[in-house]
Amino acid sequence: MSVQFELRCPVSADLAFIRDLVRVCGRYAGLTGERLDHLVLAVNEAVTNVLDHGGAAGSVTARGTQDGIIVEILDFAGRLSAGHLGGARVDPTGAHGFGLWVIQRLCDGVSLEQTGLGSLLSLHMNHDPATSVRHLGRAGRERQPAH
Amino acid sequence: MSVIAIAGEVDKTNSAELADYVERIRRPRDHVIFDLAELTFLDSSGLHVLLSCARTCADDDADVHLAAAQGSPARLLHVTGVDVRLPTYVTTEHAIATVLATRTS
Repeated sequence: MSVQFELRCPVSADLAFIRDLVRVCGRYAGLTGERLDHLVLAVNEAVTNVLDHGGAAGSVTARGTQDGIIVEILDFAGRLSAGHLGGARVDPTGAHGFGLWVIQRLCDGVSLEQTGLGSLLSLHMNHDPATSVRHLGRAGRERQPAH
Repeated sequence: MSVIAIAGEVDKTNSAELADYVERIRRPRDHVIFDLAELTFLDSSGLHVLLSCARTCADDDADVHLAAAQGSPARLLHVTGVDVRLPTYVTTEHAIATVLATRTS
């Protein structure tokens, strides 16, 4: 018998604590090794984005699925748009941040929904990379912006 | 050259501190070797510090060299293509030897 387990915590500047929580949840959901590291980094980037560019307040929820885990990062201020996601680029010169690009590169699926509570970024990570919903190329070969 | 070892976790809460440190330590025309052997976590703001340093170095014909990256930080360098753009080494000793050889040739 498996026990349903869900993480719910506020966005805070204690990024190391949030990373630890996500690592525990990811491991519980069956992720290991590289994929667990990718999930932790992606959530770290999403939370940092709320702190830096969103309203600095929000929540992180995580729950296991049949294929892996979904982590949702809610920005109460609702400042994250599809344009930000689609326009995210890696910039090897270091002139700009590229957290949003990293998130999309590392996760198996990323979706954004504007809700009554704010902008909700959902990150999907599967146990098995073969079930990835999409693949992005290496730096410089990412998909075109959505707008 | 300046060899800077970064240990532990670098994220948005301490990346500005790292940037200040790097700026204070580096002398003009110095190559910078980052020893990443003890680095366990690097986020995009930390990577940004390394890339900014590379830009500063390039302005006076020097390079940033990345040595001994492991685990999650190594994979971030890989997915962003930074491990192709900047010289990377398996060990810090190898990085130092390479920089010394360049300077004396």
